[in-house]
Amino acid sequence: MSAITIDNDLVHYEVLGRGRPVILLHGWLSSWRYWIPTMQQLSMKYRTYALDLWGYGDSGKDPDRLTLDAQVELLGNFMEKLGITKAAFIGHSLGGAVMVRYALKHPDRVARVLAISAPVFEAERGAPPPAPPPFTAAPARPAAPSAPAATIVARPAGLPDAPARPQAEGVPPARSADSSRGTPDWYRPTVLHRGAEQGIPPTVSAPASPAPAPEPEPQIAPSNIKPGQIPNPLNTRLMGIVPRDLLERHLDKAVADYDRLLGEAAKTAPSAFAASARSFDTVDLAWDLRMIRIPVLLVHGDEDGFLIPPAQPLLDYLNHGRDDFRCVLWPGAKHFPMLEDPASFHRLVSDFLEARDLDDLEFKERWIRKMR
Amino acid sequence: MARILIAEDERDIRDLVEFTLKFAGHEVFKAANGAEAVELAPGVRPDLILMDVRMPRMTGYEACRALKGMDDVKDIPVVFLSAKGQDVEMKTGLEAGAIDYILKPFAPDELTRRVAEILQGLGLS
Repeated sequence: MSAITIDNDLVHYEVLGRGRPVILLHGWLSSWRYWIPTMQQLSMKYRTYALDLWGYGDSGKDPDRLTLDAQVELLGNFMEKLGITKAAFIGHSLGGAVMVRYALKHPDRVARVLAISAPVFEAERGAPPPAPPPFTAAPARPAAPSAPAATIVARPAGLPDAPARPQAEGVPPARSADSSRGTPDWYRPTVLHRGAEQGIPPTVSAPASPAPAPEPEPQIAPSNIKPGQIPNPLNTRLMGIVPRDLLERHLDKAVADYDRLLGEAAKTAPSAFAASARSFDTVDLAWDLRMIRIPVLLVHGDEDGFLIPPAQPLLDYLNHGRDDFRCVLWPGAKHFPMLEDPASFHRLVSDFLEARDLDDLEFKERWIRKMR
Repeated sequence: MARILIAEDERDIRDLVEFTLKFAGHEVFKAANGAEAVELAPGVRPDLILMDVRMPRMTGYEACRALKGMDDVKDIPVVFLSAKGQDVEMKTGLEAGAIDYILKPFAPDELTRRVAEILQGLGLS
């Protein structure tokens, strides 16, 4: 067992393999342990790290560190302590949410994200905001010194209401005939200048000079919504439930290592579910996924009874205008696709890690029903 | 749960075997070649030794013969990790005192299963 101390508390992790770093994060129902087959599979080409989040497995159980934000901070501290400057992320359920939030804040430290069974919930969100520019480590200089200052889309803290959706719920919006810009007529982006609401100084136009400074990379904040603004089904699905019981309900008994996984779930801190669920009251992971600036692959079992897979309108919201985002709905898979069909999952992971970009991924029709 | 000594010179494979057996519930010890395995075995007193064939300093066969000549460890069962298709090597390994062999390359879950079977056959599980 490997462990480090972060904030005077123990963080358990395991590591295997050599090569480019890949970090794996578990979800609510168990611990690092269910990544063992994935680590074994990847170890000949990658250095794989799997850690236990606060409150889970053999990591510290401080009740004040069980929120989503605390887990995001843990991930950052873990990378720093182990000297990992940049890694590919693979996260399941809660782990996927942690990684998406981290990648949104630190795109320079994340190569790409594979989020499995992530907690993305249906809601009336209105039209999707414009996709942000992809993150580039060395931003290009503006074409001319007098180019207008960049604007970004940012969701201010305490935004009173989500933008009204122009279509009735569940009805796909009509597409525009304006193919020259590829912008549908229902598209009414909410564009906000960086400003005081985000605590980010307004952008100042670069002064005229022969060699202007490169435009700084825009900082995009994670969602910070009001409780109740976006439905949070976790409050009913995680509250008052014993972790081991919940795992028994959603994990197929035929998966390898079933008994040990149940044993790991029993280690979960008593208040972990409630604290974690509540912290999602002010989170809209769909927004975060929409605004992320690195390649993201979302994988969801279409028979997941714990976290319901995203429906088409939500996929449209996430996918609109982006070529670095894809969602795979896995036919027949439940909450743990990586354990239910490890061979297919590992093939997908290897392809995902090696693809130059997501367009290069070739999904196998037999297990991909929808691909966005 | 058993105490298992692995002798394997390729670090990636050694680490993978260690990881696999450790999280299958065994206590694992590692040697990077045959000579190291011979040195470690008397102190570790493993229930089982998994031995690669081709290793520097001392091959798996040489190490196995050496172990079988040492009174305190001669009864520890040795299993060779042999590459597929090397039937002659398997025969040589068994003649050197090994009780079985596992073909390489192997999937981790296959290794776990084979080790469990071997331990069961030895009455160690």
